[in-house]
Amino acid sequence: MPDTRPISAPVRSAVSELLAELQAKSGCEKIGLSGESLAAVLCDVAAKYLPAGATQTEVETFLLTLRVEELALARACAAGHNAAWEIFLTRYREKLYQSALRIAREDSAARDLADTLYAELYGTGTREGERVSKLASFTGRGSLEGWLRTVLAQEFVNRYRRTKRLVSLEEEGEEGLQFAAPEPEPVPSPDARLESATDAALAALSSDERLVLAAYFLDGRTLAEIAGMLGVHESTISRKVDKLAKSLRKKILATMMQRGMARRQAEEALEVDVRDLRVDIRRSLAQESPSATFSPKRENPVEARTRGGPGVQANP
Amino acid sequence: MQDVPQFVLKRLQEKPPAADSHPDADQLTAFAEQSLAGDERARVTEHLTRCGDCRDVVAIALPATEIETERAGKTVALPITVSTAGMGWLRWPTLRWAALAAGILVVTSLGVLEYSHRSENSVASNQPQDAIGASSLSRQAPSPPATVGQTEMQKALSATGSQTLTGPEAVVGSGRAEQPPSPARSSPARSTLPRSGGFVKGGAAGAAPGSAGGIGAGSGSGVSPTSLASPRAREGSMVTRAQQNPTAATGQQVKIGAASEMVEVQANGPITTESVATSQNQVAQNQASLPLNGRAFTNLDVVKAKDPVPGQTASSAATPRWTVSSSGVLERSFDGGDTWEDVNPALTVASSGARLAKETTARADAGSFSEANKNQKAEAAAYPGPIFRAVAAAGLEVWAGGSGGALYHTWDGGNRWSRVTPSALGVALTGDIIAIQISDPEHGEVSTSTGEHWATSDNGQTWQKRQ
Repeated sequence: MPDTRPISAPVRSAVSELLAELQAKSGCEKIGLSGESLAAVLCDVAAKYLPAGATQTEVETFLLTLRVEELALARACAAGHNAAWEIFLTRYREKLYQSALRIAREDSAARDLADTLYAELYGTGTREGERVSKLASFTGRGSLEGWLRTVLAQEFVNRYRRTKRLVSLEEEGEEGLQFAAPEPEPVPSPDARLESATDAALAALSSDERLVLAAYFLDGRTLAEIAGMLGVHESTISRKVDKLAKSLRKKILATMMQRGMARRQAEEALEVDVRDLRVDIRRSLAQESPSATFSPKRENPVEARTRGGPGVQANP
Repeated sequence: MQDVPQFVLKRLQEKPPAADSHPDADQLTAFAEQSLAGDERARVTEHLTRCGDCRDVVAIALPATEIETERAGKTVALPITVSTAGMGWLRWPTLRWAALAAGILVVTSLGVLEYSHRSENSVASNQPQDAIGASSLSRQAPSPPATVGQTEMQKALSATGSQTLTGPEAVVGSGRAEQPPSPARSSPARSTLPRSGGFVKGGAAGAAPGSAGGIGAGSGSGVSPTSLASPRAREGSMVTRAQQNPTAATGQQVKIGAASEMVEVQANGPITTESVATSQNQVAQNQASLPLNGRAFTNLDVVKAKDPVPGQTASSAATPRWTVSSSGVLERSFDGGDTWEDVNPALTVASSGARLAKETTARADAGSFSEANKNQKAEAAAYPGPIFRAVAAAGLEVWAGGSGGALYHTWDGGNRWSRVTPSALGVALTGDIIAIQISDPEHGEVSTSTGEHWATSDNGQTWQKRQ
């Protein structure tokens, strides 16, 4: 796989240092991938992910985290070795279809999803006469099985997002025609102190905590799902969500009051009805939050309200 | 749970990610598998806080097995670089509570197993076969976390019309951490069942739409009794048809708070389990040690049949009995010994390549079954099988061994075999096998005419030669 980034010296040394070990671990020869090819692949992968100034030790550490067996299998398949492809089929074909079904939840969509990916993996397109397989882009950072699921998920999200966005654009167009737009009500801008207090509170959280916040309250993911994403126990997430819900409110209020607001004033500001700030939200929701149609989630309170938006707007 | 103020959520969304900052599929996978560390992990996490699309991808791509179980087990090999920076608040309490939870779960599952055994006296279950020749079958009680394995074939047979409750099956793999099934506590069973059946609508009769991984409706614990109430359809052909079913979709993906790794026995492939994300290192090692000829296993592939209920004689119609004739032909019977059919393992191994090629394009339908059957008969004439001397079976899992070190293994009652060549330290088993003993699906011993004893403790993936 052509990689335009030049391979630095530390990478080369690290690869040659570990090549014997990785070759044995990967069993690459048995599936038709030579040691040289494996070395080239490893160099590419290291160059792709590591910063330019990585030391040889860092590169070696990185290389040892790779799943070289699966990497070798994937690249051997991509290179067209039949033995490798047979192994791949045996191990992964069923899982591919099973995962597609679990993701798409409906037969024909699942089959479609799986077939599409299957064709891409096999390599139906050609570039300069050579079969191009998606497996050539697998880099062994994660398991091959997990990668297949991720790729399926990406394809799934892309398909339904595209459709969804088209729909929303149409909806907006219709509204414009059907409902003579009255003078838009002046949108109250949020209190500046509220904004800065909120930003401060959010910034004080760790990335993981913000991720939990977004996944739970924006996406409506279940505790189990979030726990799975972060690799922790479900009860941990549950406690975290509780803690966040309680502490954010308190903190923001406290900050606002420090800035001179009275308690009641601060509370009112915090409870600002987001429908009044509707325009911003719809725009950002359309970009960021998924539609509830395609995933079983809890009802997203923010989305639920805004879905009532257009109707509300139309009525004088 | 209180809600977070709406304004906060709005603010959280207002910083969309940079267009070129989306992690690639490998990174997202590595993130979900806890294989990222340090700065890289921090960057990806930060991106995820801002990007709903990528969050969706990570969530959707999660494996079906309950991640909790693995965390609770905590004996899974961790990836080499694990950074706890930023995760400190997540780790320590997890371990403590997880250990406690694990203990409780073990006790609970033991109790449920006991209960389910007693309540299933009249239900046919996977019976170990009678001792055949030199083979003996004594299986220990499954270790606490292990539960029942149910084959897809049984599901297929039992799903004719009736909804049968089947619990999740914990797969106990060679060397893998025992994963205690946990009672379905928090997240409700998200069963994909009602729709998943349709996936194999075109499939052969008896496709298993009916077997609900209904944890919620079941005993409420992660281990519900496997309903092995296969109807008395005795015909071998029906069994075969069900086994020919190349269902991709009977992955009964039940997401519960339980140790469910679904075990599907599929005619076209090895036992596959729904992936267990973090046992990657384990799997990697297993894969490295597999001889590649004809060995179709992927990950964890043990079907742990239920304990035999004492005094029970009837065996499931689906589980054949095995014997070796005096001329060295392997035979099986589906009707308790009244009629026997020859089985030639070498056949399925040899033709697996051709069959694979066919299957990549074929769809599941009754047509392909009859076609495959015809081909099988044609092929039977062409391949002389090895001379077998010993066979040992545990439910649908059977080992057959014979002259010249021929050792074959099937996990689906004899439809699909793989050739196993025990070898240790570069030396392979080449003598005539005269005895096979299975003590439990992982532990077995093979004896040869030259007095060698080879033992495996991981269902045949690795072997040790005993002196």
